[in-house]
Amino acid sequence: MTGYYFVAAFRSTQIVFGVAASLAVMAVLYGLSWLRRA
Amino acid sequence: MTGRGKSAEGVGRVPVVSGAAVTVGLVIANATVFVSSFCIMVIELVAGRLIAKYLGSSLYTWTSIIGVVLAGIAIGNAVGGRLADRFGTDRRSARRLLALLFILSAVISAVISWYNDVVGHMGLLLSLQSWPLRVASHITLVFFPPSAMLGLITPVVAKMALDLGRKTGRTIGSIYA
Repeated sequence: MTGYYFVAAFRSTQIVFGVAASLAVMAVLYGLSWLRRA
Repeated sequence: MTGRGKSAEGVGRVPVVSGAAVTVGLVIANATVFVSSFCIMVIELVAGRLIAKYLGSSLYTWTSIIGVVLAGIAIGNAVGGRLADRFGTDRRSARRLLALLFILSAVISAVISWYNDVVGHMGLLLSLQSWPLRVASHITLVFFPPSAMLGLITPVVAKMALDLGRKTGRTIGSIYA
């Protein structure tokens, strides 16, 4: 059962990194939009 | 975006924006809120699996996760509204604020897994006698910051959408839908 939890945590870590990447993309888009209007 | 603050009559006036620009602006606003809300939901669902190796999976863990994430969203919304009024006064500064909030959210989300391991080995929490208190403390420490940070985004976007000049009810309704 412990192994299952570690695998689940590893997969979840990958998902969390995906979330962080999506948010970073949004940050870049809004940053570019802000700079374009500067 | 015209007319704001240029004269005594212009203060608080609804800016004049063309129809196509309004539609595009609303689509962008809705997409932005969709992404931030989607990320909150993903983090909430993933939280149960991340903490399972330290706290197991029980009614306590899921109740704490849901409560902490909702509290984070509520406090984030409250603070985000103030931030929007303070720093998102025009569309350009709102975009800068959103870029900053998204960067901070990305950083906090990226360190969740590492921070979860740190908190999982924290002596102070391990020494707690009350199991529900330990569960709630762990989840609050790890998942309150990202929830609150992502909760900051919606009010800023809502204010930006309202500045497009459409009816308040429809705009807020479509943002929160």
